[in-house]
Amino acid sequence: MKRILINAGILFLLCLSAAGASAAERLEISFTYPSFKGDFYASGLVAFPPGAVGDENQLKVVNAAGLEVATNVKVRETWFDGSLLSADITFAANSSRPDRYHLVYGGDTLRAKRLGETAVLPVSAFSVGGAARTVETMDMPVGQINVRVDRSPDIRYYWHLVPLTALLFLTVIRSRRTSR
Amino acid sequence: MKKHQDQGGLKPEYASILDGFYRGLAPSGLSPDYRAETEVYRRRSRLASAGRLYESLMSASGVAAGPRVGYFCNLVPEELIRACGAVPVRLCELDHACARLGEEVLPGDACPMIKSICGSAAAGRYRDLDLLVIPAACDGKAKLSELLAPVRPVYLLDLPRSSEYLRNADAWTGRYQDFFDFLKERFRSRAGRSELTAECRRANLRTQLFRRLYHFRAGHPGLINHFDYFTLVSLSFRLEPEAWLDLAGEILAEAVGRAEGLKFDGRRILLAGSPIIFPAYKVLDILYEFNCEAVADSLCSGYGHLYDPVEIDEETETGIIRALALKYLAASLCPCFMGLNKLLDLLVDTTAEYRLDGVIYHDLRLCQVFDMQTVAIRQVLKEKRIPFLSIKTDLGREDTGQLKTRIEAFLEMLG
Amino acid sequence: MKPRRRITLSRRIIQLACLILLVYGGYLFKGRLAGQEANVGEPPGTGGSLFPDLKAPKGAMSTTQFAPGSILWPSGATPVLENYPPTLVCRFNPKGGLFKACIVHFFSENFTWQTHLKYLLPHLTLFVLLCFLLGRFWCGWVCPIGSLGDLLSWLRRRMNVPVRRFPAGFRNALVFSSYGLLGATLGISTFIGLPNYSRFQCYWFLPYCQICPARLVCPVFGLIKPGWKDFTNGVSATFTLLAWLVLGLFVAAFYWGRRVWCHLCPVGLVNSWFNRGAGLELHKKAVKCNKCGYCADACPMGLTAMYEADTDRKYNQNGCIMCLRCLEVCPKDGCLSCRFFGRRVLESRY
Repeated sequence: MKRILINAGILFLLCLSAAGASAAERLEISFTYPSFKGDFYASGLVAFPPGAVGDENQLKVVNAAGLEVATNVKVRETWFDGSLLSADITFAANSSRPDRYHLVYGGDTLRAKRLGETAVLPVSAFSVGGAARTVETMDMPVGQINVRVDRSPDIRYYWHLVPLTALLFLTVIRSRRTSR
Repeated sequence: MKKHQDQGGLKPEYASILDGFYRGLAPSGLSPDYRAETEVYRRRSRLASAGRLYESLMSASGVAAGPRVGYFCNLVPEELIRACGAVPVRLCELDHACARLGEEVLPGDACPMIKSICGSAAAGRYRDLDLLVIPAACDGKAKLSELLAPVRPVYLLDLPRSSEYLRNADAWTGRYQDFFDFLKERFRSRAGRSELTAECRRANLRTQLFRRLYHFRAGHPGLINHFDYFTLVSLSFRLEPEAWLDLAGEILAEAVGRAEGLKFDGRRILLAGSPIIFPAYKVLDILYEFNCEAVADSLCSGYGHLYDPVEIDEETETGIIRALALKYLAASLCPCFMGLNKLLDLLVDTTAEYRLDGVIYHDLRLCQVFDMQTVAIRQVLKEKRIPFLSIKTDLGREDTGQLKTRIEAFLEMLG
Repeated sequence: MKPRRRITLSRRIIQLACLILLVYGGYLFKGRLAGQEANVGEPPGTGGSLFPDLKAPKGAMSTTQFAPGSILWPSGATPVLENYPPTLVCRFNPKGGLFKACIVHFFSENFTWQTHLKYLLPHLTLFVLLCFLLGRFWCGWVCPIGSLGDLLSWLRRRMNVPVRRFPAGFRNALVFSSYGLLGATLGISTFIGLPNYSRFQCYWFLPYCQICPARLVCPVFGLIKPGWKDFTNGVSATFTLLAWLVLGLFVAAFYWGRRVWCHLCPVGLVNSWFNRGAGLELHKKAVKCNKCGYCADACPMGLTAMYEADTDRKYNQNGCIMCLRCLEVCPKDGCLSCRFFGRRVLESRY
């Protein structure tokens, strides 16, 4: 049994895939611009739900104007049906012209611009999807996918504090009334 | 093994001198005849099966064959004696004729029961027994172990006087274990825990029936009257458990069958204090005369002898002996042990549970300890608003008139 | 048969049933659950179970990592139910057992993994609820190690060996030591969970479990040789020797005494904090007591409060394992009673 602990982004994508994988997804890419002025690579590991991204060309990165940016995609892992599980995505950005980028995948998305990654540039890591959703673990036995995902909000756990406190309080009160 | 215990601490030379004195006291023996009394009580009984009860009081049937061990007080575990193949006979008696003979041996202001026992011994009534077991419960009993030594071999069961379980349980177990070892050697028995368990079971069967009878009497007063009740208990002093169960079972069955629609318009009281043993039924006679029934009691010749069961927690030999020690010693109500709390609890609880009219404290004159705790009982019961009467008497019938007046006044006061 | 006798009889039946359930529950229910698990995975995100299964984070030590024969083996098979009941349920069961593990295992493992508090809350709530309702009832009626000890005591009684009664001071010293054991376990577990000290995890992981007699006993129930020795280095050799010593103590404690071990058990200690406030109460009607001492004599934990009591009150003691033996042996009708939140459930009868 192979056990992979995946990061918060996976879960977000998994949730979206559960909602419906046919339409193209558009996720904001967030990173901090480095202090120097000039070109650099934004790079990040992104995970996808099963069946959402058929191959490395069914995703692209667009800027605020909606124009595609040249990207380099290196597939890390694939799902059992051959679709992408996770991939390293790298694209070039310039810190003197800050822009907002989005990751688009799914549906009929097709990547047109490829980045050869010839220049040696500083790298800034990015993440997708904004705030992280919790995920427990992901088990991948051979031949089947065994995923246990927790999509529930924190309140699902924290409400236990109410009965827990009440029970402890009652125990203390009742103990005080009992002679030693 | 322990020669000094066997002989009760008296050298053979001195013992034979004392024995000669005893034989001179009652050369022809003494065998009081109570047929007239049994006939009176048989007629007073409302049960047909009581005839058999009073018959067996006079006959020797139902007593098993084998070496007989006489013992005093309900502090001696009869289960141990039975397990060794001997027959335990409780010798506690309150016999006026014997007591008068006992006054030749003992001072007049000794306890009537001690005098009675001593008189019986001097009259040679214990000579057919194989062993006498005397617990050092009170000073009188302890001294008896020496005075009775010429009559029969005596084993003195020396017990600590505090009935506090926490401090004494180990000591009691040790004393009982010694006693058991002594019995095993004496009667050449190889008794172990299977014999002990069997004997405890027999005794518990008796306790179960006794408890049913005790509760029945409280609910249906007068049907098994207090004469029948105390006679039944004193029969258990010498009857085998099975013979006793047979007898008591018959009486209870008949009483239960006739319980329907029974009315009792008299007083129901709890009798506490010194033991009452046939034929010393003077107080019971007076109560009967005023239609008052002693439905509950705390006497060592009644409740105390049969009410407590043996609870075997650990079925090892030591465990069973320990359980016996707890049954006989920790739960004991004897005033010689420090158990006033238990007695007060029992009086308060039983009076409330059975809604009894009051408590009569039977105080056998000249027993100091019974007398001494009267004041505490009186004050506590006064506080708890339980009517209480203490009567001080002895085995003679001379004070009957005076007792009648006091008891009548008490019963009238109950309203 | 007297009606009261049934308390011990039913206790023995429940103990046996629980022994089978807790130890062989993995074998009995695993197949069905494994089938369910396969279905769960297909569409991802079907939601977590009521009790989130707590697993080791990447890089942290986990019982699944130990090879056969190692001191923390066998384990690793997932249990049938992912929670922690208030009694001794061993993780070191082949096939995982019915429940995940005992509460001490729960604390030491999750302190090491530094699991987020919120994931512990559901488990803790269930634990506290059960303890609040029944107090240390689990020790007397459910705990497989306690049942095994009762079996040893029974053997002793069969062989006519009298019970050793230990003085209160000795028993208090055992309770004191159990605080020490629990404190040391939690301390070590937290320490090796700190980022800079994770290198200690390979030898100090689950320190109490390594010496707990259940770790050696429970695999034997599953016909598997436990990891009974490891002399690779000083720490593991010490743990091995300690484990042997504790197992010897365990057997001796149950053979010569009754439930002496239970004074030392940290799981019982955690349960005992709830005893005096528990819903299951023991009451005494003092006026009915004839001071025979049978209750104190029969108490496997050697408690005497019930005997000493002179007023009508609730007498729940920290050490009480709710075996109700006192109530069973009490020869006075209605003197001792067992109540559930004040409602009378059982009372002594002869």
